[in-house]
Amino acid sequence: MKTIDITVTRYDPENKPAPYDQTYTIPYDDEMVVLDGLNYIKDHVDGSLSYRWSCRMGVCGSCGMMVNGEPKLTCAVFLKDYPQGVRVGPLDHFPVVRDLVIEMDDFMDKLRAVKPWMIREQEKPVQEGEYLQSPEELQLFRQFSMCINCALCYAACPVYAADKTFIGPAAIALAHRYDMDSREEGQDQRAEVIGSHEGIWECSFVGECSVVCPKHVDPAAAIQRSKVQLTKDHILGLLWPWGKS
Amino acid sequence: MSATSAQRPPRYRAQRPSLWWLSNGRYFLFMVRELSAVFVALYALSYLVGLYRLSQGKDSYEAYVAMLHHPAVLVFLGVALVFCLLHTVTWFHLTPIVMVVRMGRKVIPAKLVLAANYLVWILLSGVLWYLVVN
Repeated sequence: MKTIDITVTRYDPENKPAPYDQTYTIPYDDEMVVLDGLNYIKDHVDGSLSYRWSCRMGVCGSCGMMVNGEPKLTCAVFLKDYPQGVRVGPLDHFPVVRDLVIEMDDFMDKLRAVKPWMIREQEKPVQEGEYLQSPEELQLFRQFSMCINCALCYAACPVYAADKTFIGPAAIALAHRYDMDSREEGQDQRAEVIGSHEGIWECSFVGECSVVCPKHVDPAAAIQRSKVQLTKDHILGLLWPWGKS
Repeated sequence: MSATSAQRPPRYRAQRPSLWWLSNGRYFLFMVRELSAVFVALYALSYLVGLYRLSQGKDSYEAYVAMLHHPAVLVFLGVALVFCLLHTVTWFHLTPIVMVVRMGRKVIPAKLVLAANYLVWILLSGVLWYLVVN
């Protein structure tokens, strides 16, 4: 059986203050993804290796790591594509808890901050039926609802790297998903968050968030479109201040 | 159950390397695109200087035109032209991402939005060329 070298960034805060590399040589075949390699190490070589994973099929968003310097879902990249060996590290720009496990508190707080739920000024009674939506209206936000919160986009974002107060790609894409929904009435509430100093105006449109997204969401587009929308709203507010209650 | 900060081990926070923008080609292209704005501004500034010198009379303007033929200025203008073209083309290609153009219930394809940018660019360049030649 073929073998491959997997170099893993280890971090053991109780015993060593700084991360260090550890290389494992393991057998592999063409069907094995990087996550399978980590599971092999955990099960057969070194049970102390820590990392997150769950579904193994690109749905849960737990197994995001830096693979040869690029943010990837480790369940979605094959070992055979790295015949020279593969280097696995924790996602960039996040505090590391242990080995490949990052602290996601800041990310979760930001998702919550954009109010990712349907806001209605007044709910209609259930007896009046559902809120209808056409396929064209669905298409306007559908891709932005595909996010699995894997945080690869934050690991790819140089703006978030420089300023951790930036709300960031996934949270703004999620805000845009609700803002574009024809049933939604809470755009003003969300604008206070994404239009703040830490919001969309921080983004310099590098676009790497959209490149690394494993679900083909385009957070860079969501951010730029939100800029256009908020600018239009601002100018209309100046020209027509009576328009808003 | 969460441990208090006094109990939990320290998190490791890596410092971003200063040459992060060389770590992949897309970051590098982004930095070049940002840098191109400086050359666009300098190019525009040289035009404003030209207009100012024109307002100062014929001698002043002719001295300005002579200065434009200095080899160092020609090199600058050549470099600025390359950066201006890069600036234009990269932003044109970002336009369809930013602008979702709708006609009724249909969304205009991104390629058409991009083509419209090039079309307007060619048309305006043609008009300018016509004005300069005549």
